[in-house]
Amino acid sequence: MADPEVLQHLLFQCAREDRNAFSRLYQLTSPKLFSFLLRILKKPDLAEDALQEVFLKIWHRAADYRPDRGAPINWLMRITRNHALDRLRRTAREPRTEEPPEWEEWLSPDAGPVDQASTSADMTRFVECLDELQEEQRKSLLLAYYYGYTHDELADTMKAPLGTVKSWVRRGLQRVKACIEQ
Amino acid sequence: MDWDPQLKNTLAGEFVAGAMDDAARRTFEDRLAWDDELRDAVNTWERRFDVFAEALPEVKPPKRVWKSIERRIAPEPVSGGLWGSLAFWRSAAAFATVAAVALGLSSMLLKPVDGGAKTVYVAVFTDEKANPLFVVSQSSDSDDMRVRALTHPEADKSYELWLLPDKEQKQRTQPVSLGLMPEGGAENLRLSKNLRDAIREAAGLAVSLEPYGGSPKPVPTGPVKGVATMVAL
Repeated sequence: MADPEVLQHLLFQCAREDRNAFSRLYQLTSPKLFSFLLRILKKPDLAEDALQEVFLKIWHRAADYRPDRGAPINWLMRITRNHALDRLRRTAREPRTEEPPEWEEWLSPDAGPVDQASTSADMTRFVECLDELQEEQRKSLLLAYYYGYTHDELADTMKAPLGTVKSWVRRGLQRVKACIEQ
Repeated sequence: MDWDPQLKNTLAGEFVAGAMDDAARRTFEDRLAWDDELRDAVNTWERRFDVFAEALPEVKPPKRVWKSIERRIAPEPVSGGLWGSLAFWRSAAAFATVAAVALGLSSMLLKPVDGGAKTVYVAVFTDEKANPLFVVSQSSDSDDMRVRALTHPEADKSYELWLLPDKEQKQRTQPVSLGLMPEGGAENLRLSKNLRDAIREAAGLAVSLEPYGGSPKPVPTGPVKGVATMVAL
């Protein structure tokens, strides 16, 4: 992962219409954003189109980046995720079949986020708190976040009544929050 | 509906997690536009969820994607350097509608011009839908420039008005700051004679979004909100 300070500097340069900085930003961050788009949109051609649109947004909105609202990569990921979810919402959806990544992956000291130098104590705590959730609560949250599952789609996939799914999401979030604030 | 802090927090979590259906999401987004407490709750949840993003594996996109992006941000052929190029000032659409809007608005925004030697110059900055954002006017018998803002910047930003380089770049090769736009309403900006003359020679004006208090540099640093030219009425 690129150094947040480097990315921040590149974003500032992009806000001043520096095309070289933009090219560098693309080289450093597009593999992560593309991987996310592929995960949500599935079809490579859709993901490629979306990546193009996302980077045009980044180019035009670079001046909006605020360092106090989080690391640059996360700002870029939010633009990417919002774009991908909008795109999904605009097209008729096919039945969803994804499984969230195995929870153990998150906790493994080598592959997971926990060991990353850029990961703050808050984030580590967030992962720990997710680990304490009931399996259904955690799975609903991961499917919603990673793949943009709405309540209805969660109910379909997890074969549970809508009200139950809603309460998984809601209680999951409340528990995570309570756990973080302990 | 009154949302207590706990409800706000939970809904913000659902919003960030992405589980809301379309109708609920729209209601939420409407409220997000004005409810700062809700905005804060969303920011907090976003930061929590960022950990998912950080752990994603990387997949290199094919080269063609960058090629198309590069084509789409390519500047128009430039004559006379970066600052002289209108392509640099992104809002070509705003530029195109200025004259028409200026004529339509002049009767509403300006007091009638008496029959004397006075000439009034006006420029209107518009958004893509031709809604006016800023109106700038100047009368030949005044040292002041009247600026009216019909929009306001985010809390920690300011809009700054610039005089663009002249076409041949004889007098100016860089934009010159004319001052900050009011945060709503109208104000007068006092101008030197040189600047007044330059403005009356149909020089281009631009408004950029800058950090609060104006650009930290002698040139614009933020995105350009619009470009317009003064026309005599």
